[in-house]
Amino acid sequence: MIHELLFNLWNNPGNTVVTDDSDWRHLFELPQFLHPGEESLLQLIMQIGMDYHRITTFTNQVLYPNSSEQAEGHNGVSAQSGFYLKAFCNGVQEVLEDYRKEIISLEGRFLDYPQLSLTYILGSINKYKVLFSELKSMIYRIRLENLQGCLLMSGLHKYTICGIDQIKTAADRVIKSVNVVFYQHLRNWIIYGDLLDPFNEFFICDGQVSDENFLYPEQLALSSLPVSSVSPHYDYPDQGLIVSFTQKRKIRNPPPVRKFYINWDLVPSFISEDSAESILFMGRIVWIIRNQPKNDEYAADLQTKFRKDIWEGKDREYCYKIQALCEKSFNAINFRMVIEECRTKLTKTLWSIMLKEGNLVQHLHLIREYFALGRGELFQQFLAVADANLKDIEQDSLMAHLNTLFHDTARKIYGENDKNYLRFELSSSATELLKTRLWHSLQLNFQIEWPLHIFFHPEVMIFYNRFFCFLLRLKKTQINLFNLWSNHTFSKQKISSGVWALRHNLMFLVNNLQYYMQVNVVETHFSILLKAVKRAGEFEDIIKIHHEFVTNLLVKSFVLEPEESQNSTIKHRLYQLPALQHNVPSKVYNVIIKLLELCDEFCATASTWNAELTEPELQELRSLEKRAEIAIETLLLVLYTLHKKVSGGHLLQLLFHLDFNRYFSKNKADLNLSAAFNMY
Amino acid sequence: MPCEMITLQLGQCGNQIGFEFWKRLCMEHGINPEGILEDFATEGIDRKDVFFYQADDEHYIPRAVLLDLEPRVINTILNSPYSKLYNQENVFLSKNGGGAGNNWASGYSQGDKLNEEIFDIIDREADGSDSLEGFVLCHSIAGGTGSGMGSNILEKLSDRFPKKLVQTYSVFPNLDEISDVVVQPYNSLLTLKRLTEVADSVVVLDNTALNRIAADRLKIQNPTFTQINSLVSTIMSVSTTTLRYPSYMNNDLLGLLAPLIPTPRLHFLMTGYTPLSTDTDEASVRKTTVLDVMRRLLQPKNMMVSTAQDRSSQHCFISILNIIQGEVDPTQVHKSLQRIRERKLAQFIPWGPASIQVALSRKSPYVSTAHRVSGLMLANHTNISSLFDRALNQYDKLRKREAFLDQFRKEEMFKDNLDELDSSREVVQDLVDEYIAATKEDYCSYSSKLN
Repeated sequence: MIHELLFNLWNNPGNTVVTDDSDWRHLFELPQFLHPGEESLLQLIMQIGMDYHRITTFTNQVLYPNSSEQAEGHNGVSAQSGFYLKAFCNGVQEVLEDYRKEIISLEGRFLDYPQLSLTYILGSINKYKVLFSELKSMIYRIRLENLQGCLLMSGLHKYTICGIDQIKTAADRVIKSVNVVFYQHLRNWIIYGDLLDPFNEFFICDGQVSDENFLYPEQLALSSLPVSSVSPHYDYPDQGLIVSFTQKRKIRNPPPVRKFYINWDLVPSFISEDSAESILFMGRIVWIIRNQPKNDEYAADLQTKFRKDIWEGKDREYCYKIQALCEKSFNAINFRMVIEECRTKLTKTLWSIMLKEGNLVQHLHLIREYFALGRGELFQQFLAVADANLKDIEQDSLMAHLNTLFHDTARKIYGENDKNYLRFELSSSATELLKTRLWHSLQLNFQIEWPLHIFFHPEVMIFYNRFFCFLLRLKKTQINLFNLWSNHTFSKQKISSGVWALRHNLMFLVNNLQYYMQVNVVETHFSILLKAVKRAGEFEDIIKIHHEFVTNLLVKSFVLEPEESQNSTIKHRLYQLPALQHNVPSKVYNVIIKLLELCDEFCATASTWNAELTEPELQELRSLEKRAEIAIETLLLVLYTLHKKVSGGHLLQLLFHLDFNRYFSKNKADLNLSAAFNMY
Repeated sequence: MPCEMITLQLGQCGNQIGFEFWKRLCMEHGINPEGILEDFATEGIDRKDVFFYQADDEHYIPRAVLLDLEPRVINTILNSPYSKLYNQENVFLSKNGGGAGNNWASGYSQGDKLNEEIFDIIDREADGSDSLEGFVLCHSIAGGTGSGMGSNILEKLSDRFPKKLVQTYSVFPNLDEISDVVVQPYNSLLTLKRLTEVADSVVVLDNTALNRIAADRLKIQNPTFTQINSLVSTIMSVSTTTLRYPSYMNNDLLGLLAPLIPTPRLHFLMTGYTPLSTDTDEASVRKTTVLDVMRRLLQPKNMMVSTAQDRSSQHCFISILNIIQGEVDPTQVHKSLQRIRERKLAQFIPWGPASIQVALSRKSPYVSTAHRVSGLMLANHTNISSLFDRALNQYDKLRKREAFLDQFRKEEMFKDNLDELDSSREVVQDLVDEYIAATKEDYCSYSSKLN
């Protein structure tokens, strides 16, 4: 009987039994001779045996799906598969090894000493009862909740802190087994940016498409096609299509960035949100660096062999560091430390790649020179030439003409030494381009080099273009006023004092606005930006610095309002946005635009006037004067009242320039500017 | 290349300062005396084409026209290492070579006769540029050629190129020393009329102040022409830096002048430059900050125009442009401006808005200076009228005595009467009056009264 019992404890002769708890007696010969006491002892022992069998049935189904095919019908375990589950089962098997050894040793003892009692056996294996029931409940949960992948880890992690040593050790063993898979994933992801995860078990998922955040609208249309290959390295949906597309529009076509995201359901409970974001971030960086696009085929060929090594030859070192985590059960501090170490390494390397290979500083200079009109001579000349040449151009070919003019002007000015202008192209944000409102919607497209496309992503470029558009508008008005000045000067006639006085006042305002924008806003923040970028050291830092720059640019130029509630507190994200509200121009902006419109109107009207003004012209002048007076006063008042509400040093700076000789504030008691300047 | 400037240098003084100016530009753009770009300068993105153009063999040629009625100065230039720099066709020497004898009338009438030949050269230069912005004329107002022929050319230029800016760098005579040109007051006054009525902007280079600065600030007791001219060339080159380098503001002469000159006649600009140093004195290098520079620029002693203190009227700035070069933090500029405003270091017109405009400009990478920050001021100040006042006084003294008028009567223009002198006096007097009026609050109504 004992023999039979041990045999049954060891082996599971018929799978059918497993389902039925009570019917175990048929396993024994002559069950009718059993004493009720024995029976209940046997009952207790068999309970443990049954648990064991149930567990092994499950593990066998997972590990050897073919051999247990017949069982599929009624438990559906095979629906679950995957590396984590397999590893879990392997771990369980390992834990069960103790039990099996116990049975073998009991068998040996029984052979030596046939009088071995049932109680002894019960005593020997009873310690597994708790363990088995926990394992069972775990398996039950796995089945019930369909636990998979990384989730298994959080489930297991719970047991390491349950307080029962036996279970803790067992859990540790199982965890170790599952860890192998998890850290393999983690390592592949962090070190190589690879996601070898056919069962979608890892908490980082491959979106299989390009990240729309890094695509321009026209690219987006193309990229909606799914990625055909599973390989993460080449994600061009259709090489031919992409090539023709690139040739057509080289400038606004950065290489795609594969979309990876965190499946928050799969993030083990012991990994903090921050670490998870960090991990996602690292893999994405590595992916981007390793997927540097090469133009010619030979280089592309080479590249597959010698990919750029973001770890600078230290990938093994970091590999081992992650590997080492696998050996122990999870330690939050250690884990975070290693993740942070890897992140620091990566982000530093990325920073230096951005600076050295990506020519970040050069890109920033180009942004300053083109988007912020640092190349005043180019845009001034371009505006003048465009004004003179666009009168007879057909609507359809307007943009093409503008681009030709733009490039011609630039070539004339810069010649052969500086061909950066070729990296820019004009386009329009308006769906219908009207000649009269041309300068209100003009935008610049900038050819950004790899890997800076993740830095200057489309959303940021939209902000730059808002700024560009405003500055261009300002410049245009300034030129109009200059032209009026030269008309007056060249005429060599006495100009009515009202006309020149108004011209002078408006020109003063526009010049000072221009000065404020260029020096107090752009130059000031640009020099801060450059210094900070060189000092930064980490990729995330330069993103942050850059976003501060963009925010300052748009807020201090009044183009947009700042976003007060910064909702993304997570630092380690590849895709971040400057804290700006879209489409919310400030009050000041509206006043300035009104003022510019007034200037344009004045220039257009006054250029038709002769030296001697007729009565209607005089009336028109009076009305313009009146309106200008109101506009100027509004501007000053808005600046003045706003500076009290918001921390507006910049508002005062502009006020300061406009009212330098106290002319505008002279007779205005409600503008206590001197006091305000002193406080500032 | 858009916004080209053609330089016309006239007479002894004009050619001398022009010569120094081109030397300086060559140095700043890395062009050697033969017009060939130095190896270290081939990558530059400076806008050489504003003042130079390239010949077929790629060497750079100044857009300069050299004119004189006597050969002395031009021959010095043509015998210097820079002789190959200039386009030989642009060097014009009158055939008789007798000069204008320091007589405005002679210079004017010779200019009239040589008009066609001179404008052949100027037209050719103008046609050779893509979109010419204007002319720069270098001359003195006291002598014969620069003043007389200069006046003639000024008039013709505005007829011929009515839509081009004409800026002059006009050297005013040194009143501290007795001039050997006895008719200097006549010459000056006659030229001043043209400068007022025809030129669009005049940068006044006052020899009195230049000599004083050389003596007081640079400790040179008897400054040579070269030393004075190097001061002048500094001013000329710095005032054009925003045109010659990529820059976010003041990209053309129009953008530079329009804010400075609110009303057409008040277009005489004073300049100031700091810190001043000569090649020989390196010990005087101080620590320069933006505030230092901007404050010193406002001090009369650094002005290149000697103005008399006039207690009767409250002279003030109509406008100021400071061109600051060097390592400048934009926030320092703002702080300096605040300080200047707080302490009321500059008095401005009461009839309109005015401020100190600041242009932060690049500096040539090929010329090393001992100073971290340097600045040039271009200012429209009402007190410049005292200079004209002085010219009127001198003229009146001479005219009262009817002195030296024979020389003028020899020329066609003055044969029958001296109306031209009278009308010139009137124009200059009006100018002085207008400057005085510009110090008052009701200037706008004053200027409408003039109509």
